[in-house]
Amino acid sequence: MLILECPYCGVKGEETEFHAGGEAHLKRFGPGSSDEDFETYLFMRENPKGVHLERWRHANGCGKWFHAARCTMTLEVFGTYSAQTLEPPKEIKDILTAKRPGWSWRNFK
Amino acid sequence: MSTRLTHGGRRIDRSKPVTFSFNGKSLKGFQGDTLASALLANDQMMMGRSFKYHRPRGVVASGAEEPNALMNMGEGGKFEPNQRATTTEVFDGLAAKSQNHWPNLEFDIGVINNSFARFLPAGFYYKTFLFPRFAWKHIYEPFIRQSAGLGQAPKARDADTYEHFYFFADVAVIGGGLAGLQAAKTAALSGAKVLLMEQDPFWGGRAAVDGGELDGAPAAEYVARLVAELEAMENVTLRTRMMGAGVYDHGYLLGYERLRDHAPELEGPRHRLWKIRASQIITASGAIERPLSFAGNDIPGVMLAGALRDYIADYGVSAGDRVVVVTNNAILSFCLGL
Repeated sequence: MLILECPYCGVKGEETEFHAGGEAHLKRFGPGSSDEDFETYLFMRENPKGVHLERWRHANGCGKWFHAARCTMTLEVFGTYSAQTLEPPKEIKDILTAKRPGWSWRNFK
Repeated sequence: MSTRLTHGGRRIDRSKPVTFSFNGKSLKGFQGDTLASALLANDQMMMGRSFKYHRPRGVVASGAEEPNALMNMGEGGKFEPNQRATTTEVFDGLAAKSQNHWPNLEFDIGVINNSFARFLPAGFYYKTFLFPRFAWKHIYEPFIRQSAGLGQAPKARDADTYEHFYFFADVAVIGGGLAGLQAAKTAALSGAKVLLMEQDPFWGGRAAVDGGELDGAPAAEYVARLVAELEAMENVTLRTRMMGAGVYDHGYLLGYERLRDHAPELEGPRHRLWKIRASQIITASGAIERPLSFAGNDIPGVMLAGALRDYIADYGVSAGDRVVVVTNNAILSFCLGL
């Protein structure tokens, strides 16, 4: 069972305290968008083996959504960060580069 | 013929006899016996019947790895099927019944399956009982349900209580043999908060039987000294009768503690599930002997060489008067030393 740290309330908790919310950094395409954009938004996911950026919600805590950088293979959690951002902050990227040189995830490197 | 030896048996207390029942028959054992060792002491080698063909089955092992000697244990609200005779400690009034036979263990109607073994291949069941249609509900299904399963399902509501428990440790050690005790001591001396668990009621595993000297003391004495040292340390939690049931991500570990399976007169919950978070987990669980494969290795009386040794050394029970020993490991030297 994973241990995650909520970046808002700073609490370290077990997985059962959180709720997984799928892939992070999706751009929403709603009504009026092209079929292709909507399909991409709805279905296309990275599903990587290795570094992954995910949304989590501190369901049994402060209730806020946040992002986590995690390895899907070793289950190592590299760090968590605010959901009010379009890409992972520099510190997270630095950790990823240090621990997984040459990592890439969607457009991020 | 299996018998109790006149001497030996480091785990039993011959001054404290206990009476238990097996298939309604009253038998005697000693405190410290497992159900399997007490049955063997009463010349009861056959302890059950196999799942499908109802072939006779005897005890194979002496510990948690036992596949054959599964029993219906207790009565009423305390009834539980499929309990291993090798991990069940005998107490006064224990009631065990062997499984998967009718009308009794020695004479079983179901063994007729064995004669038709070549007509009962895997997948036989669902391919064969389709026609005639009405027969499924009134003939096939009742019959199949009657013969399905090994133990009986409990009928009464469970009379016992259970609890779960959270625990946090720097180091969790699974297995209280020499390696586990040493690991726990080393970790504890560094100041870490240590949890040490052992699934048996005894510390030290087989070290005392293996013999030899450690730090100038016989192995058994050395183990006792180690345990005493650990018990004196405030940062160490020691638990016997607790099995490491699963190791998961991020140092998550499950412990399964059996609090009063061996002493039903005690108060409190019967089992306790420990949900443990540890920074480091050390598995010092030891090894289980691999059985040799040969034709007829499943008939009662064939057992692991290590189990033979355990029954002699731990419980003072000889598994047979005339014994053939075939091993591929160091247990042979013990057998030769008999």
